[in-house]
Amino acid sequence: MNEFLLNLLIFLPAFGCVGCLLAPRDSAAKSLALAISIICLIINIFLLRAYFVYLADANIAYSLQNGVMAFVTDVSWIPAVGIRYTIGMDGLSLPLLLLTSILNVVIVLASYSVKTNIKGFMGLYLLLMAGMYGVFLSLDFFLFYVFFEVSLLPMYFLIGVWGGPRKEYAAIKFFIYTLAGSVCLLIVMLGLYFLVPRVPGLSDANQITSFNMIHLASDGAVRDAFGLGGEFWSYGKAFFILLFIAFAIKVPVAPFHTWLPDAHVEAPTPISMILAGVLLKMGGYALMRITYPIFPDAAMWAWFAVSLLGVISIIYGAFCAMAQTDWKKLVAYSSVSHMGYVLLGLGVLTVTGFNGAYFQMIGHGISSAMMFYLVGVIYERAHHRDLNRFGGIWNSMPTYTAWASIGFFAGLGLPLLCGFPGEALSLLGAFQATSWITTAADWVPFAGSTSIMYILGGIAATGAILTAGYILWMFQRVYMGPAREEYTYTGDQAVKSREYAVMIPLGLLAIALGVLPSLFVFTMTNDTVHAFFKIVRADAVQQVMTAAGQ
Amino acid sequence: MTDQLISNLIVAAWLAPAAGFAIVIVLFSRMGNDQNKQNTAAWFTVAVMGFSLLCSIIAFVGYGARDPIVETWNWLPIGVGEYAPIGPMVDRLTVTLFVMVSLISLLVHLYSVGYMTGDPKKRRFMAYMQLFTFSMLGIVSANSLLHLFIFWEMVGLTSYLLIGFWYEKRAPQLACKKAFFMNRIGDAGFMLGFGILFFQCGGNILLPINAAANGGDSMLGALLAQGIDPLNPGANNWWLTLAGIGLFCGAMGKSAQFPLHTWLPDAMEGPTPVSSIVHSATMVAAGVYMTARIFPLLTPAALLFVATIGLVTLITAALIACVQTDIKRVLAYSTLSQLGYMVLGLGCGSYTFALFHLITHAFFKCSLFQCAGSVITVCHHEKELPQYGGLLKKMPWTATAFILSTLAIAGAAIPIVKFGDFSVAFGGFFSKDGIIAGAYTYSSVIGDAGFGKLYVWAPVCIAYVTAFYMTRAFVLTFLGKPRNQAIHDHAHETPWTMVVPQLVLALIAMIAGYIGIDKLILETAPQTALAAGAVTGHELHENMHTGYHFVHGWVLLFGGAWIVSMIIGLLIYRNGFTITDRIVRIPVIKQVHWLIYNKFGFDGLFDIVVILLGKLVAIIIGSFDKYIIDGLVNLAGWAGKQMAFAVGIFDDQVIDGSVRGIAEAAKGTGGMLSTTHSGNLRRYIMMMAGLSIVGLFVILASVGLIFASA
Amino acid sequence: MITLEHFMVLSAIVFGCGVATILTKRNAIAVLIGIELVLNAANINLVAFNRYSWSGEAVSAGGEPAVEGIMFALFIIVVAAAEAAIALGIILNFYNMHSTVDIERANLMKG
Repeated sequence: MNEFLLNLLIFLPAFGCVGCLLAPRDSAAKSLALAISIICLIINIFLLRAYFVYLADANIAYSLQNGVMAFVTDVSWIPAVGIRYTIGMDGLSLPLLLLTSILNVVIVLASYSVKTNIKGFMGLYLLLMAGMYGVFLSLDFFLFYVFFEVSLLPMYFLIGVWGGPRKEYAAIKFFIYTLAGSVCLLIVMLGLYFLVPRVPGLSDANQITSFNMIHLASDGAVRDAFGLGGEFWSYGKAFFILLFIAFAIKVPVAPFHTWLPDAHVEAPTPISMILAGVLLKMGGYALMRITYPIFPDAAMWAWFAVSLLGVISIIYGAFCAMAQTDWKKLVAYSSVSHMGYVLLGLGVLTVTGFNGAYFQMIGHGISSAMMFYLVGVIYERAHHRDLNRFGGIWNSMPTYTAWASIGFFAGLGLPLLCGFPGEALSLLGAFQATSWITTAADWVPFAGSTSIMYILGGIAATGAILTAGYILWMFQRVYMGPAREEYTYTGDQAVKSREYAVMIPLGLLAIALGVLPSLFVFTMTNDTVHAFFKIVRADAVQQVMTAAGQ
Repeated sequence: MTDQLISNLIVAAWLAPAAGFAIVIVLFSRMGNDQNKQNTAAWFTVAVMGFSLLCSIIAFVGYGARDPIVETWNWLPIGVGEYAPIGPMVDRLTVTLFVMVSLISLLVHLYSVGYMTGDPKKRRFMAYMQLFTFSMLGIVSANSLLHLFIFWEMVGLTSYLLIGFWYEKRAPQLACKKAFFMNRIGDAGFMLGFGILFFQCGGNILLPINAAANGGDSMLGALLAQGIDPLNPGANNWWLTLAGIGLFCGAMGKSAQFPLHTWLPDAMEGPTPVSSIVHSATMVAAGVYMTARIFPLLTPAALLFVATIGLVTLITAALIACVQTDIKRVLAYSTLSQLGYMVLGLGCGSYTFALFHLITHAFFKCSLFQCAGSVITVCHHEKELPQYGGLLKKMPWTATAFILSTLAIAGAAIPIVKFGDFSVAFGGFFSKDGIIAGAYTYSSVIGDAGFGKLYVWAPVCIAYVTAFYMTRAFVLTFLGKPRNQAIHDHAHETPWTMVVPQLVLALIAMIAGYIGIDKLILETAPQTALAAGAVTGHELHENMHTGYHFVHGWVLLFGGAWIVSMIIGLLIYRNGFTITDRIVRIPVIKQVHWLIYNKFGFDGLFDIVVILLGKLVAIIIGSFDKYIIDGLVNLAGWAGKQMAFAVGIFDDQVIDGSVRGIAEAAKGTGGMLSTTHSGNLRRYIMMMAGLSIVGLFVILASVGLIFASA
Repeated sequence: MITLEHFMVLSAIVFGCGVATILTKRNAIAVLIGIELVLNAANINLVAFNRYSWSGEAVSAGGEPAVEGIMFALFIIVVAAAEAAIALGIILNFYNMHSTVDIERANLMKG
């Protein structure tokens, strides 16, 4: 039953896509898309419960090696090369699945305002939805790649057809940039396919297929071979870099980020929301699911570069955001800045940082989607996004501004809203990293240094100042000041209840995640994230100790 | 009372304003916007604060003598089954400050009911005040730095909302942004210090409170367990100094210490009740409170840093206060100066009296701001001292509260006269005395060189200056002849909701020295502060006695400060600005006056250095991103396109050329054959029939031939 | 005794009539009739061959009745019926468009 539901998550939107294209009327397509997104949400809530039941079941052998992969469907797909259709879920995917399904519902609601060719829009959106669920569910490398691409294509059309004035440019840039990342992914996939069978001492040469991510991550022989001093250590480093670039583009990390502002600025509001809310998270998720577990030693080898890129993203994105006069571009750059915390949390290789990175993805998913919608609400009415021309919206639209302040202050990283726990944990994780760096073996960058994390952490902490700078400056220019005639919207122009139906759930989630972070995310991820993380670290630490002994 | 009950009372007192905020924002917003409905909401918030105060007082009374009560809630997971602790912690200091904060907040709420009459956003204002109180109580009841930081930031947010309450005008917009931004600068330091301590002290991040709590659970305990003594950290543990200074940076932001102080005078753009609560019980108090909580972790170097920052703030702010003409700004700089006293006190190890001064200052400064607010309200929102004068008869109660508070801040006392141990003095005298005594001890400890002496003689001199500028404000406002007749004619006494709070506050400030607050705080003082080897390995406790000997030996010098300064102030300003106008024309004084009047150029400098530089960097990086990074991407795209174009030509001419040749040939043949495709049915049939006959003939012929050959 | 040749001659005659009709008539209906004649000529042949290819031994005696020719004939009948239906449909439409069934007028397919 639960296995079936997982499959349904992928196939229901895919069939819904066809249904939307065949729909007799626009309204039917809208209703269909809404119905499917709500069904998916219900499925996910059901899965949440089912997963807890599953975990509580004493018969489940909880193993650190495999984590707890629940409700696995595993059928052969392309037997000639060992590609299988393997999907399943664990605590690492569940919160992101929930986030996706919640955002889908509100984003379909937000898409009601799309004017042209709504059938095509909804159809493509449902296809995108199938791709997103597929990415978070697939356990087979090849399947993952397929879904990664499936989510890319509808995005291209959604930006290119329904976008703003420079939509073609933005769409093609987005597509090609991300595709370049996919090429790196493909290279690694092929490399693993040819190298893994040559790994000495595979635990079960017949059983391990070079495309199963979980097997790859949990087989000690594979990690030894690609780890420090292993036969394929240089390949391990190269593959880590390639995978990192592939996903860093998606995250995005400075300097691979320039597709993001253009795509966001040109995309219609709902598409910006899903882009910032879920698609960026696919990069972070893939780093946690694929890159780090399969190449733990390479992760250790690259920890400083990754953390430094994270810190650079934080500062750089914040400065760029401050320089913008286009409101949407400001929010887009704030995404670069916020996703930097994800990278910092990952790079420092501590449990706290890992938790922080994960929470930051969820928190940013809520806050950035909300921020883009808040911009969209005004843009739909004012038809421009020039920050210097706004003013006085607080007085002319007080209720909207109340929700807006929740959204933007969540983006600012204010405690008791969803932006804070992730940032705080990432930073604390960074400071905590001192403990393993001081005792690390020589080959690890900055081994033995006590001060490097204080420096990195200190620089990252100044990101909070810059964030306050651009958010507050924007808030002042847009919302404060006396009410102006041109931005006073009443009657037809007043904010509709449908629009509040998008803002209010997001706002309430932002508060709920901020006030009770552990209840909402960590009770699910704690076990699995940690189990997962032990895979990364336990082995890496062992390597450190061995290397130190040599 | 059980520990649990006290803890619950504190939590109730803390959460009540949050509930009040939610109720006002969510439920009361549904009601109409007319003044009566707004007033209902306002009185509701007053009632909530009353409840809060009641809980606090019960907890205060019931606390008695016991160990601190610490509760931890699992909030933020940091590891496998580990949580960064948050939750309430109740000790003597907490309950004392709870009473102070909720009492002052209640009085300010009451005052706001009168002050905000007629404002269309009154309800929202009251809701923000609730949130503000909630945040401050959250800080005071925090058991860990994380918990403290959460509400630390919430205080920042609510101050932003309150200072920018009249955001229609430009000045409040800038002021609130500046306040939040400056606080964030400090918070970056806080995060640095917090991060370092978080790592170094492991999961044990409970604040060190007193001897009982200095066990394994506290940060200090964790440090001592590792053999690290904050008082003598050693060169390897330089990070402890860094952490202390980092955390103190947070306090510099919140408590507006030099050089992060410029937001506080600007914050005068907010409604006056905001000023009165910000400057007394909430925001600026938070920084001092936090520094006091981390006091045992501060290394000698960090303490020196703290003391120096306090000293600089104390001196500059007092001098600036003497020349300001905006009544609220005079008070603002006075607050800065008093905060400097407190921070200096902490830096000097005079923990008890710094906190004592925090409390006495809260009462008289709150009262002073409320008086100023009343004056401003009745004078048509005129804030300039040159426009006032002679308001004593018009507003006798306000003037009474003002003069009482002025005496309190000036440290008024009757020197020499003593009844046993009992001196006749206002609250401010006791607290400031203690700080100076501590400073004396400290200066003797850090060396008797001229530099060390500064730490004791500067506060003494500034005590005179304090009395002077406060007298100046009082005289210029209430005495002399009216300088603006129109304003004077319209002035009148304010309604009871405004008069009562300021009088109550002034009275409390008057008797603050006698109700034993200092003794209570002394009990809570960290053992290290008293036993401190704090500064040098001497017993500070004994040193404090030396300090007191010093103070008492010079009792005329201190006790007489207020009399001398007040008389001078009265003489100079009794006729308004006539005398001073003449003084500032004297050449050297003119330049000095100009320098001080422009706040030593520090505001402008800060704007240039931080704001302009920040924006400049932002623009440079933004352009870099747009032209270089994105340019590279576009260049790659352009190159790809050009290459594709070249390949396209090759493809078109060469590859496709050959394909096209074949196609052309096929097309020609087809064209020829197509003539047979006439479309005429009969012709097709004829063709078929003809072909059949030919075919038949061929078959028959070939069969024949085969047979023939066979 | 009627032999296979009789049937073949009959078939040839019918086929010849059919072809002649198709070739000479301008009326589309007549052409259709000609086509039917051609088809039926083939049917006659098929049935005849079927009959004469069977040894005539009784089934009970182990003989295998040949049915292939009959089956072909049946298929042709069915196809002819369908073809007639479609052809008539085309002719009707053609008449509606041109008010005639003269096949000389049907030259739009000229390539």
